[in-house]
Amino acid sequence: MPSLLPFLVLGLALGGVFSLSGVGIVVLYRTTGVLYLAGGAVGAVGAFTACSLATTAGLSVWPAAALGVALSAAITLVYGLLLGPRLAQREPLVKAAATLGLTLVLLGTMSWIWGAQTYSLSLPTTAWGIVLGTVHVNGTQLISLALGLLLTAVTAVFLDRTALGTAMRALADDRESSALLGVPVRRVEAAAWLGSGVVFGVAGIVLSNLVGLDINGLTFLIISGLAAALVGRLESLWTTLAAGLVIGVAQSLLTPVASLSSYRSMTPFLVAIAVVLVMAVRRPSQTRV
Amino acid sequence: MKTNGNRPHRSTSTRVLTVAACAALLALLATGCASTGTDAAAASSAKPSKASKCGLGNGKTATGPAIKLGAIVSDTPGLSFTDVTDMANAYFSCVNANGGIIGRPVKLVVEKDALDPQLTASLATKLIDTEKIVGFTASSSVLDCSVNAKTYEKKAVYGIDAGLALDCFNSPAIAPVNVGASYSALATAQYLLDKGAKKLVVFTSNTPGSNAINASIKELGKKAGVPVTAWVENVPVADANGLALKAAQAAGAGGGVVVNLNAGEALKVFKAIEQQGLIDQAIWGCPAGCNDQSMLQQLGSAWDGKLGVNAEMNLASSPGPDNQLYLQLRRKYAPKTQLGNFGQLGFTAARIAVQALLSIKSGDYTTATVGAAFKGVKDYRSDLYCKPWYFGTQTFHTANNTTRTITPKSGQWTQTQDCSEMPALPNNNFAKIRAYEKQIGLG
Repeated sequence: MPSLLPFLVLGLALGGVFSLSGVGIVVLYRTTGVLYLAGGAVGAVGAFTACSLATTAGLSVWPAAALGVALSAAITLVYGLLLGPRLAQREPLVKAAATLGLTLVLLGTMSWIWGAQTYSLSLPTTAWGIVLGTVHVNGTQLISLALGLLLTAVTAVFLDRTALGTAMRALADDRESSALLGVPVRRVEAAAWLGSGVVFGVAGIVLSNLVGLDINGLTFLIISGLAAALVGRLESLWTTLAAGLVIGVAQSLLTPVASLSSYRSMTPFLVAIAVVLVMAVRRPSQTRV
Repeated sequence: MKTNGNRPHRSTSTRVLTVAACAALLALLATGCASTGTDAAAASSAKPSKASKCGLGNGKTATGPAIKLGAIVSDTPGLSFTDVTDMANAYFSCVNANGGIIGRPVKLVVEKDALDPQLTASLATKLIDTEKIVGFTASSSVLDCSVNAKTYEKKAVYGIDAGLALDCFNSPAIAPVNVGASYSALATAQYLLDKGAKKLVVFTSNTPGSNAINASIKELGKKAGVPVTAWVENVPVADANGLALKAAQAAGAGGGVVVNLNAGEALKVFKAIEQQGLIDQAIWGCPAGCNDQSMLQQLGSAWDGKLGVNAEMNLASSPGPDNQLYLQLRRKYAPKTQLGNFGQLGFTAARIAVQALLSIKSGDYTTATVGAAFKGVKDYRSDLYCKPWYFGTQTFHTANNTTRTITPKSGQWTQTQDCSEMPALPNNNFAKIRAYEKQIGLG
């Protein structure tokens, strides 16, 4: 039996980024009511742009990464400003499907621009690291885990303690009443779109270092973040964080197990389904139509 | 009112500026993270030979009705082999500018497929029945052989192609100029054994035929007396770090690993291996799919001499006359194609096809005469190959069965192992193929 410790470390790093995406999804959903499925694609656009800027335009990696994140944020913000108000009164399914449309547009655009070759983006943090026993942990892995924890904590405090956070929570509870009470709905939503875009951009950059710079791979890794957010019932940031970490670790620990390794990509679905079933059993009256 | 009058002007200017900025950004992004490689990247220390000539090489433009050849090539996001057909077309352009086929031009009708069997089948019908092509050249499709090989055999339309699926190598109507994914993986495993690997590990992308590839390497391990661990891996790889670690652990000290994934997926794994400091924990190899210029540029110096990649063709930096012609034509007609393997394959397929067409003295170009000419190619010699290529009369074709191994070094591919025969095993045809080669005087 191979040592599982290195896989645990890898899983925690991956889980940290899943949590990051999950928290972005939760915050946006709570504020705007939109289940944003384009987060992976938006992050991928940011990562590929950073790669292009670092290689072609001669920028060093950090400014290139910052511009990549800025582009991810801008795409999300523009989408939110243009389509958010138009879809505000539509059913949640319509709102989610619209973001799937954005995903497809971004996938097509990325394939057109970057589809023909292989790419990689290495943050300087990936080159340094520490050795814990027999395990080599690089800086990006540490940052991934730290980012997941930090973002969750900061977001929780932000929502709880700041005026904008309070406005976001008010919108999540009752959009119409909040508007009547003077909450600047458009501005608050714009802040949520922008903030989530930044989160997805950062997740894209970090994931491109952890799993590789790949259009489809990065785009569909949103599924793991989505699963984490679902486990958190699209409400709880801390549960989302924990779920992201559990998914990452479970997925990673299955890697060396020969009989289960092929099924490890199902981990997010299985975790989400299991939790939804448990919730349905525990609260039957609320989950039945 | 004045303000209103100014608005459209300001708005138009802003729009123009925005569009210009977007265009500039797109142009910048479109250059990608890596270039397609220049001929400078193919610089050789040896003095290059004078390039071979195209076809008749008489400098006269071909006229009259074109002799139509067809090709089906896969072109989907992340999986495109159009470099093969682009370079075949480059060679045909040069031939047409140099006398054509006894005065007549050649036209390659290229149809692009995706991963839709119905589309691939319909394209074959279109090419044969509507376009009236007289043969296939430089087809490079994921599905073509699996879907259409029986049709080609039934209709007696022959092809000199770059085969992807194993079905391309087991059809009497198709003779690939390349090695193919399956045999290339086997050659990579043999290279690792030659390097002294005490154990073999192989993981192959989970696609049709992947288990057969792994089985082939298990057979090789059995013959060599080394243990083999093999599995299929779902792509896209979602946790390259974990996969890299798993492979290194499975290989153990002195083991060899065949990373049998396409270039994009393999690059993720190699980067993960590098990040975790695992490069020296095993001997690493990759089949011909990794013989990719953009991958070479991304690998970095950490992999210099540490990765063996099976090469279906000679190095793009090799000084031979055929390779020099390839470089010239790429520069002139297809500068956007990647330097190296796929382009060389298309170039070679077209070159063999032209040699066959020129052998038809009657001036009558039909599927029957062209098929006979294709089948008659027996001793095609090129500096891009290790040994002569032939079409042959067998029901299976792998004339390109002796290959080199290359490795990255200072930003270039360099040869690390000279021409080596692919191992003959109970579950492949190489013993029969070599017996046949002796029979026709090429052994």
